[in-house]
Amino acid sequence: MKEAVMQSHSERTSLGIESNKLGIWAFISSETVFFSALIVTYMVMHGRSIAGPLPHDALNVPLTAVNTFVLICSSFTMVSALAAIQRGQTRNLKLWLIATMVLGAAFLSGQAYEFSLLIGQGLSLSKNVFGATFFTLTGFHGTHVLVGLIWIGFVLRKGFQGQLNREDHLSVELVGLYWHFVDLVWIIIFTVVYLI
Amino acid sequence: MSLPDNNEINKQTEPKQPNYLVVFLALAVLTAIEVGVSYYLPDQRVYYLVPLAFVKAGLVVLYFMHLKFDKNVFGAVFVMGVLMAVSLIIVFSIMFAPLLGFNAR
Repeated sequence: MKEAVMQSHSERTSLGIESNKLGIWAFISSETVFFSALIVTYMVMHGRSIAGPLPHDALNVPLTAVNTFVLICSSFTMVSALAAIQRGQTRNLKLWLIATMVLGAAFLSGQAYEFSLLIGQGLSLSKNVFGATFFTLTGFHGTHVLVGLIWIGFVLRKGFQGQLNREDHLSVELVGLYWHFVDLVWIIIFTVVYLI
Repeated sequence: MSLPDNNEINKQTEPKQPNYLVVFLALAVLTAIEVGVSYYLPDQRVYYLVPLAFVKAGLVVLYFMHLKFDKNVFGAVFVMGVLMAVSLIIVFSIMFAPLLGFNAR
């Protein structure tokens, strides 16, 4: 494995770690509990719908599998962006961040398309328990993806303004942690909702 | 006790860079396996899919999120959230035990 030297202008702390990074991890920790509540609610209510559409009728596994692959690709491009700026490659950083945004937008488009198909089949938040739990869970996840895209956009703007370099790129690392967490949540959602 | 300065912090936090492409390919292959299991092993899919999901999640957390190479305090903070999430799932499962059970498609 290669070793890259990361130099960040972190403030002095009593723990010797970046407080921003600790804050992001604490936020991710809280989001883990939040999404676990939504996921376990879906699991408990699974199969309790009185009337359809039901999961095995409505859900499109091949489409969502492709969407899942797109999100995994975006995680790869995000970590590649961080690796690039850690080597001082600002041009590659911007390219990888743009690729991440494109893939993230593609994922959201796939989700929107799937939602339109489900709504066309008569599924909605108020239709049955499956609709309520499914749209709540995937809707919150999609919102997190949208927030991540906006955040990446701000970091990309910093890149174009020349504010990111090998010594100062903590913002890339922070948005990367958030983006990977969003991917992590989708990995669980895809398994629980679509495959099981 | 003096606080560590930036040079000391930087020295302590030198991230290792794994082969991200290998991790990405592993995630892609595992996803394909999951889809295959759901179609060709529907009756035992839970026993395969849950461990596979944990493996994928582990790869993302350890390598993409650098938890394997970063300071332990970040891992401790994340694990606290995971433990709370697991506790939540266990409590909900016990509370709604009669309702649980994934119905066959």
